[in-house]
Amino acid sequence: MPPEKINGSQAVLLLVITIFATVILFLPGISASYAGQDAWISLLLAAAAAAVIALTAVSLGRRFPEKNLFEYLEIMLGKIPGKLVGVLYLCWFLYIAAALVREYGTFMIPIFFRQTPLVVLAAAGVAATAYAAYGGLETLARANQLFFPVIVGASAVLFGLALPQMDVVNLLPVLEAGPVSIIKGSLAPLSWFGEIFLISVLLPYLNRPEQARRIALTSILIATSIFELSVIGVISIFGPSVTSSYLLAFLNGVRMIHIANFIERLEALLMLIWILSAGVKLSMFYWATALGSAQVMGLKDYRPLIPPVGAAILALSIFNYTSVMDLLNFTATVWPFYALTFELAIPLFLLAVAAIRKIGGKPPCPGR
Amino acid sequence: MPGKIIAIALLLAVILTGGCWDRRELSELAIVLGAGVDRLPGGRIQLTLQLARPSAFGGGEGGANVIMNQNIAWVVSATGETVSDAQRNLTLQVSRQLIWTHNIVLVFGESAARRGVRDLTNFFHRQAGPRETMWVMVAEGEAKKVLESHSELEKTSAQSSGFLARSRAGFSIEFINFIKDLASLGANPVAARVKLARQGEAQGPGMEKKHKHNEVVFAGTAVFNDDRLAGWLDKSETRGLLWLRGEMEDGVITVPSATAPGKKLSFRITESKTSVKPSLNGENVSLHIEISADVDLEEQQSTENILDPQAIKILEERVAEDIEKRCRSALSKARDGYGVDIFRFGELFHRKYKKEWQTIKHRWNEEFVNAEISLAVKVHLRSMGLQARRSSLKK
Amino acid sequence: MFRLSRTFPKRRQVNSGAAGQDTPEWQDLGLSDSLDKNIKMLKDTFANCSDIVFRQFALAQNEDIRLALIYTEGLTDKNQVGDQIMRTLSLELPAVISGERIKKERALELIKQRGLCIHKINETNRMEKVVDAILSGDTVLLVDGHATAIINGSRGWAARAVEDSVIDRLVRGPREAFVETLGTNTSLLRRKIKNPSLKIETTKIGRVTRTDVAVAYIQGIANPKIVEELRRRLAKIDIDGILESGYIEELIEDNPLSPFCTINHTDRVDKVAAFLLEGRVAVMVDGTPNVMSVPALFIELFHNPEDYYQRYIFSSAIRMLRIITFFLTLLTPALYVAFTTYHPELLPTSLLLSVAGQREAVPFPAFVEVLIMELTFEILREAGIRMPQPMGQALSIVGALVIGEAAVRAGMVAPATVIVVAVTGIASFTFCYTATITLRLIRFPLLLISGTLGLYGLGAGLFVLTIHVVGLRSFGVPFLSPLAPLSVEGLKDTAVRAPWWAMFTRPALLGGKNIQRESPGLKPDPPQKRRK
Repeated sequence: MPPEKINGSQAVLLLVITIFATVILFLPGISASYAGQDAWISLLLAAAAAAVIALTAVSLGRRFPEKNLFEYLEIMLGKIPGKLVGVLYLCWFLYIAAALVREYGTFMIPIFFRQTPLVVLAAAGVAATAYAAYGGLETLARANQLFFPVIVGASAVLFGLALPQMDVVNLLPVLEAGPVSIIKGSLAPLSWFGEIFLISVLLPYLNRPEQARRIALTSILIATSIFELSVIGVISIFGPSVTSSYLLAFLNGVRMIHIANFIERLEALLMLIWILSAGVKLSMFYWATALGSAQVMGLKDYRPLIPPVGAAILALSIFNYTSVMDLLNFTATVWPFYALTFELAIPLFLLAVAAIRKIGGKPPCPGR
Repeated sequence: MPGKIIAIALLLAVILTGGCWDRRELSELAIVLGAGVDRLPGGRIQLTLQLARPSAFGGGEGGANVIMNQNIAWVVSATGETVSDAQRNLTLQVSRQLIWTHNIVLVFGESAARRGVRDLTNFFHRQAGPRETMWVMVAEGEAKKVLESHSELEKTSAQSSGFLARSRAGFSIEFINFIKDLASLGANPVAARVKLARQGEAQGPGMEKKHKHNEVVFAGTAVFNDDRLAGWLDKSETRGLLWLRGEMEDGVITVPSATAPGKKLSFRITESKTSVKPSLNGENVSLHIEISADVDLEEQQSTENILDPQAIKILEERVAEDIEKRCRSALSKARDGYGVDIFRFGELFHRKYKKEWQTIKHRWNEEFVNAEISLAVKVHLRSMGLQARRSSLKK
Repeated sequence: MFRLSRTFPKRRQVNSGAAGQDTPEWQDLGLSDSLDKNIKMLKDTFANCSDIVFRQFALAQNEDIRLALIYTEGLTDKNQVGDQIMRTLSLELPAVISGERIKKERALELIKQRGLCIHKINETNRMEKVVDAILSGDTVLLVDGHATAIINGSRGWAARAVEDSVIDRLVRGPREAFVETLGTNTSLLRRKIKNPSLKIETTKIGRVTRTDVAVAYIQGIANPKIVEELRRRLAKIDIDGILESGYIEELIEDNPLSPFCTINHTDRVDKVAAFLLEGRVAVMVDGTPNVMSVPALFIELFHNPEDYYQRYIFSSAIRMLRIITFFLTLLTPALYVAFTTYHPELLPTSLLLSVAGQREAVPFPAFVEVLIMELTFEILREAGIRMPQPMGQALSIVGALVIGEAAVRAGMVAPATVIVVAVTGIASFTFCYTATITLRLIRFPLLLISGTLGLYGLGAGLFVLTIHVVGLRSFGVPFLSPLAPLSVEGLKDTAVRAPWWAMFTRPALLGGKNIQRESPGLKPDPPQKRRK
């Protein structure tokens, strides 16, 4: 397989959209249910913690230049344990992908498609992203360069149009929720932000790996700004109690747009944003899973693995969760711990091991 | 290669031939324009829907002929234990699939409002169909009658009520804000009050027979105590309500002239700003309300000189007095009459005194009734139309 | 149990060189000394070709030295053959030169130096070249006693005059388009680029037709790798005949399975010249006015040569319009079906009620209705093109209007559908023909998928389409540059056209090293009026 290279800005855009896809669905519902109108503070906390995750992943990865996560797991832990942990990571990626498919399918359905079975929407989505995964990372990065302005531009337009409905006083009083609640509200966003861990699979494909740290932090910065604006926007439209009752607060926010008796009903634009960002994220994780599987199995090319991985994602998305409530419960309570184990706990452990046993190349120098 | 082709064919087959579950042709839809909820004496809920008849709206030749002659909307009702249940019973009458997304108004009947609306709102909030921007009204009497009425100017009464609400001439509130007030401990919901009244006269011979109906009229405000209807505010008190909530957008104030008793001047409100400052000294809550308004002179029956600063000052004071009077009447009705805070003062208090709020939030209505309220109104006259002085005076 | 192997039989080995029949014998032969033998060989080769003329005569009235002229009637300029070859050789060449009679051994030399008055001659001793020359319209002169033939350039045949382009019309711009004769085409190109770096390399492709194909590029500007790759791909072609550049296009393109053309073709001379100046390579095929140029980029769907001749503000505005119409053409039917069938909640109330009213009377579902109308429109369009010229215009306009009206009246389609289809169709005319066919094709799958899955399907379809387009390459150049990978310099000529004084470089990915196009500081800056 010819080495694919993406440049720094493409990597940033990819990572931002990867985080964006899940967050834009749920935020700020879950956070607001814990922290009320201070959900935006929860988000900042989550972003700060996510920076830690990102730096851990980058530091770990930079010790093994040209090798991605699955490869250096084997180097560090030995062949069999390394492959085992690699498989665990693959399961985690599969989980993310399946959860994403399920989330989008389940939320698309009651709003736009009341009677279509989930499998149809899921199959269409998986098929489309399989095509993207075939194209490889470079194609996806280039396509994302086209999608990103559309996604962010559309979001900005929606935000701008919703401004008349916003009343900033709804954010007052500040810090009414205690610090414990705010932290509780930041756990779920943290687990989504932590998906920036994906950069550990991307590292070998950067055409300038020394930029990895900057890329990771820039992605978090951009993503945080986008989300802060949307969280503040939604809470200032609805107020804390109503916001926390909504499953898809952003959707309800968009439904409030009403200008000049003419500009209204813009959920179609939101659907476009959803589809594009979910497509990119799913393609990324699909690609990462296929790639990882190929490396764990010792295959040269990941392309033949794309159909089975797709089937796995499709099947998991249907069977993992019995209902929307199950999905929501899982996401709010179990997922943060599940994800943080893989995003933070294991990498930190590995980093410590690497530092103590002095495995791997020179640790990257601080700064650029 | 053959394997690939088969795989793609199968995939396409799954996706394309499944039957397109959600494909609903427009001619299979019944578009709900207005909804009304009543409570029947036995406790059952009566749901009334005003459905659009699309053939009456079709562009071009179809539409032009039918406006005067046929029914443009079709009103149906059914009963049930919940709103959903009632809707289900309705589908036994309606040959098409109901689609809520274009619903313009939600009318609560007086009976339903008095029993409590909290049980009734969840259907409209939880579903994706009804939109948060629909207007909420309370009808004097039955919501069903309101929806069964016709409109002479618009095609349907739902649209006419919606446009009236949108113009914000009286008090109007959208569903989402109604819910916010319902959910908040620092506010109580209010909604527009509608009733039916005879409007206008028949045009031309032979039309009297057709013109027998009453039309929807906005007649004030419905005041809720938590989720139960407590009472009404009339038109003048509604103006006060609007001033105090800071939602006054458009209106006319008429005051007697200083120089010529018996003659009046009318001023149009162009801008208004309300600021409420809550304060707490010890256990006593006090609220200081400042209202400032910009007005234009719209009509002058008297002949005084408008350009004289003294005269202007007097007129501004008179307008301010009028505004203050209305506000006070609204306040007294709310405090003494119903004992509820319908001005969202509780939320303002909450924002400023978040610690103290925790202790008094469950008895905010009492605090509101006992609070000291001071009112200061400032009015500024900005312009006077096209005339600097009266022209029709005989010299 | 059906046997798949029958449906998809294993690929049989195809003989290479089966393009046409077996290699004819005369390909490898050389000429002989004897004139009679040569003539016999040629007569055998050209058996039953009644338009090949064999003319024997004597050199300078000397019966010992026999000459033969062979040419194709109709392909040669008879005056040249008569005046400049026959007359000079038989009448005007003196029989005695420098006091000696002409001997056979020196005949060839003498003819070449002093005999022929023709403007261009070549020599050869290969039969293959002789046959090619005869069939190309040259006149071959055989001299008895010599195994060398002289090929005289004497081409002239009935050809179309240089006219305006048929497919690419402009308001402001040159009105020259290529014709079918390769020689004329290369000359038209030379007139635009008067520089010896304009290289034109000619080969013959096609075993039976032996069509002349010329590759043109500007050395120093064109990327040598692309030129090399093009040469390589052309050399690989092994087919019996090339009648049009389209044959070659399909044989050398990068993405045979994609609906997008990755090779431009046009019949405008200025367009090809501009492409060459940007660093592209052109392929001209004898017998067709359509000239191909590689590499091609996606944004050229929106480009029109006139954009470069009109002022930049206007051109930029028109380009934006074209981009809007691009989306209109592609998406309008799909959006209409998606909104009216799956997402009525996304339409404004009054629009919804109006459309619903119209659709009350229509028996078909929206998807079927739009499909029928689209197909009808396509049929009308094709019919309009193939119709004899006088009737073509009238038919398409009348047909569209009348059929649309009648269908609405009959209650078979809703007026809104007619509008949608009409808008789509008219929007597709703003592009040049190649772009139009791509768009017309893609419109249908998008319509299909949005009729099945609504906006979700449309979104997924656009996602797949974008991924597909992003992955295309045209001779190594990413199809979507300068959009992705992003090149800010290149963006000056994408959605807008920067003024000529701002376009400093050529598209970087197309050309080789030499990308500086003009010097900076060219913005016209007329001196301000001076006040005294």
